[in-house]
Amino acid sequence: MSQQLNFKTNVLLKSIIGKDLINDDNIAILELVKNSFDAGSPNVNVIFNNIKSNDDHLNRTYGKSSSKIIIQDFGKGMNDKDIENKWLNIAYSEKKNKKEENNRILAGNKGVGRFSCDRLGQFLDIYTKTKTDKSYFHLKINWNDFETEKRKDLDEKQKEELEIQKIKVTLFEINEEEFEETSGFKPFKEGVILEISKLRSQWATKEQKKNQEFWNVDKLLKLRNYLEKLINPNQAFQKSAFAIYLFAKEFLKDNKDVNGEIKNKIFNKLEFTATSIDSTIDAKGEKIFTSITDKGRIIFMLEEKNVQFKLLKDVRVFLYYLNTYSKIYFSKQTGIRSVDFGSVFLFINGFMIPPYGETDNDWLGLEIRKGQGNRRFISTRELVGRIEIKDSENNFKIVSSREGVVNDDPFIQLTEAGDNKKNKKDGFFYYTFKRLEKYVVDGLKWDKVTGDEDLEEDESLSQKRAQIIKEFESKTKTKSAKEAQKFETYYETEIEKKRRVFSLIQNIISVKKENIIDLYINEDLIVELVKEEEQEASKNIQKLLKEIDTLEYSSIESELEKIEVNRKSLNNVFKEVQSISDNSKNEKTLAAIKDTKALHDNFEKSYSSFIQSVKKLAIEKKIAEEKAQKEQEEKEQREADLEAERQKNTYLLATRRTLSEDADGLIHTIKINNTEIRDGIDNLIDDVVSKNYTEKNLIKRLGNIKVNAERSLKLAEIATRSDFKSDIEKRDIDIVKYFEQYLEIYKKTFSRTEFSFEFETNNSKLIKRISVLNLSIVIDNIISNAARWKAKKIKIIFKNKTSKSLSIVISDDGLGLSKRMLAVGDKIFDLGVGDTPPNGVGGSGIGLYFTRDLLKKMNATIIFLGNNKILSGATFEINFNNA
Amino acid sequence: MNDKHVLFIEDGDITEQVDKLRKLLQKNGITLIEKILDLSDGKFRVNNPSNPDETVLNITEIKNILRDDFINERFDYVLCDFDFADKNLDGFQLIKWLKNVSIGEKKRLRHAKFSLYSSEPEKFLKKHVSVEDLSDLIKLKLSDFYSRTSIGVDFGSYVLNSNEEINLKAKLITELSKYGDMKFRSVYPKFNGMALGEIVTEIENDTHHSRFFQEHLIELTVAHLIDLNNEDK
Repeated sequence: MSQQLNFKTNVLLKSIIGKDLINDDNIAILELVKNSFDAGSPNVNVIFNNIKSNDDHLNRTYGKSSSKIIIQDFGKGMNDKDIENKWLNIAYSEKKNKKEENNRILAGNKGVGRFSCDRLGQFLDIYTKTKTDKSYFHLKINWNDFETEKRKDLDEKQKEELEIQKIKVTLFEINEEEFEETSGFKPFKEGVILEISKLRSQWATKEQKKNQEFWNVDKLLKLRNYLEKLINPNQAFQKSAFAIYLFAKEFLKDNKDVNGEIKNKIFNKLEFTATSIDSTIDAKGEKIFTSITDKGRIIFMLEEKNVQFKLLKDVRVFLYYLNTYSKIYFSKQTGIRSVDFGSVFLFINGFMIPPYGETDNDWLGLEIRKGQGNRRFISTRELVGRIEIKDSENNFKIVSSREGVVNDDPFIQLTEAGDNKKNKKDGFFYYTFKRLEKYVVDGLKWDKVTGDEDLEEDESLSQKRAQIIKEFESKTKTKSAKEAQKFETYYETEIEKKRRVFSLIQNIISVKKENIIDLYINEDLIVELVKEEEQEASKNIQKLLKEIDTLEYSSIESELEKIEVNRKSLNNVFKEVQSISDNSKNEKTLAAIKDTKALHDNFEKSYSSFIQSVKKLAIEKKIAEEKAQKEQEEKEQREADLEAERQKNTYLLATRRTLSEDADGLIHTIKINNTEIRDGIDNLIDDVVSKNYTEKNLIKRLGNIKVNAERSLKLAEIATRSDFKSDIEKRDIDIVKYFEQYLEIYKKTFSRTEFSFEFETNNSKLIKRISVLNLSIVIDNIISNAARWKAKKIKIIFKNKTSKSLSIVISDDGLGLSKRMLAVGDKIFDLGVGDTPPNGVGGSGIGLYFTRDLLKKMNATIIFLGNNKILSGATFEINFNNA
Repeated sequence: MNDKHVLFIEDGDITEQVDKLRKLLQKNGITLIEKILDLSDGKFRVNNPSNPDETVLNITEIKNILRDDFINERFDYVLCDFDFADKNLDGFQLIKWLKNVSIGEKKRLRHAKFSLYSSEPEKFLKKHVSVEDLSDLIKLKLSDFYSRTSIGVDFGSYVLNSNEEINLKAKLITELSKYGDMKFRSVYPKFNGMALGEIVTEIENDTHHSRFFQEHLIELTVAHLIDLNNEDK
């Protein structure tokens, strides 16, 4: 047994296709704006009222004080029949059959846009009028009536069985007066007003910052931002304009950016010249037209057969590569950073399809790809652009949730691979994108500003780059993008980039010859490049010709090498030019190539004859140089021989030789010392001759001479151990340290006598300016006396009596002073007083008299303390004083 | 007796050379009366503020001693060693100061003849090479720059030669000084009642009256000579 049944349309269907399906407020408004667009309205007003304060919580229904969104258009409007049969007819859309109306390709076509109203607010009032009708029609809908879960007047069974068409909505036919009174709006000739009341979302919130209250209008601004991007000015409005206005008068003082016309400033026109590619599949899907433009100049234009993308027609891909400077211009022009703007957007029939291209949406897989090759691939952060589809055949189906397009074959052919299994990125987008990428990466080397740019984090600039950018920005603050471009600096020169780009063009194009219909390469590029190469070579040639007389052979050789490099570079350029001419049929391109060929031939001719003559000249130069070199060597040898001969007979030089500081110092001391000796002897002779002497005087004079002779000997002895850079007669020394050092080497240097020395320094120190020679002689004398009287050990005790005085007690273990000497007391220091030791050996030294005399000159005194005071022998005490 | 007063400024030992000089002058009837300012004396040294292990010349003390003990004395010659082995002071700088102060303050020492000596004269050239130094040198009017090894002979010769020059003013000063306490009762009214020593001071200070007095003396002397000449007849 069978029976006929039918689908039941439960009332909850409203939510399924309404507020539950459209889960974004902006999308809801977009759909309503699309409807206004499709209705042929020249503009649409999106008005927000009673957002700051309203009676939503107090009023069980709604009223004039409820929060509202009003969408008003001036399109063709509707009459009662339209409302009943079309607007209230779920999923009906005449736009399914009509592709164009009101001179516009229709944007919405699902027939569910009306339920956007449910998303936005609880109540809807539609006011509409057509041109021909005198009456206005007013439809009232309470969306709550459809939400059975809230309805207490129904039981469960009733809720289950309640169908959508059972819910009544009221339609009023009213005149102009009634319209004005009811709606509060001004009368209009035709159009639709959607008044959505008791809004479901908070469009602005009151907040507090630093004890000040303010209204956060971010949601409204985001709506503006969203609506700005959605319209592609290039496509939809060629035939008739469409403007969107947003009004929220409550917020006029809070934020000046909320109210006003919403314009698509982004893609209107980029006011600066960046690197871009533009590729279009024609309306029949037979040909592809591609061009790359760089800094305002077309690099090449290619017309090829569409072999791979048979499912695509009327599709355009337009992409910008943003280098460091382009990003700055972008921010300046749009007010937002390029990375916050988004990347590659999709427009179908003039309207943006969210969320493609929005920030963090990587619908084309660019970020994943970038991760596989950071330095080879461009990411969304450097790319801005759009894909525009004029879809009159409805090949691209927009998903009901208004979030994207159905992922079927045409979409795949556009975005990804022809063969899903291979997962190779060679859809039409990638076909175009990769050409731009090759140009930028291989040709321009990323157009980098500094040589060491880290592309992984190009938002955080390296210090050097940051400095360049900072200087650039300050120079171009008040300048337009066009003026500012003059201040751009790059790591490479333009010629280096041009050279590379030119050699890569074939690679960039990467099309089989049979598929090329036409190729145009900017003839200026060809000519400029060749010219620059040729100029570089000529410059080096001219330089060499100018300097050839003065250059040495080796320098000539290296200059020739340079010129050879230029020539090879030029030849490479010509080869590339030649291969391009094989592919191109463009007249201008071919003409430019012909010109450059002539230039090349001329250059080759003159180059070979030039090289020959220069080489010949260089060889002659080399021979001459070698000859001159030989002559010079012979001359030098003769001079050296002459000098040697001369030196054999030269005993004394006319000018003073330069001695070392040490030698100079030594000579100085010798002079002074020996002058005293000489003069002393002269005086002595004089005295003797004139019989003007006493015995004592004679002894004293002779003693003086002896002291100076000892000083000379001492000088010779210490010459190898002391430096003479500072005067040895006037040295600041630490007396204690000098004693220690002098006696350390005493044994080795000054005496054969076996002695041991014991020091007790008691941390003493006295810096004094004295004659080192004199001190050395004093020390020598004391020790030699001790040695004569059989001492083997000497103990020396240092002590600072005050900070400016030093006592040195010297005690030996010898026989000490004899009884005879002890008897004379201090007279042991008189001239001529002395004794002979037991074995009669000894006699060196200058005597105690001169010891005392020398010490006196050093502001020091010496006394005899006695025998057996410390060691068993004699003990003397020397006291040094600083004044 | 022909006395020559010499001030030696030295930081070493020149005993024998001074003796040699004395003998040389003595043979020629000149008595050397010398004073030696020995800069190696500890009182002329202080610690170097920037290096406690070093001492430097106490320039202030040297100048004080020169002012107190020497600048007002009559010296015929001042001989100064050039190299004191001190980076802050050399003989040239010292006698430049000494001479300037003597002249500026009209002290007796200004009449002396100043000389330098050194065992290494080329050191002077290394240190004082500027135009300013050259100008100072000329203004200083040094008599000579001797080699240290031959002071006795070279300076001695100089003294002997300059002894043969007549310096009336210096001679007058020398002779009047011998009778310093005697009161002047002569025809130059301005100086009437002054001690001869005081008149000597006037002459040394180059006062206006001392110049007129000297001229007056010469006139008197010539007048007396003429008288004597006439008497002989």
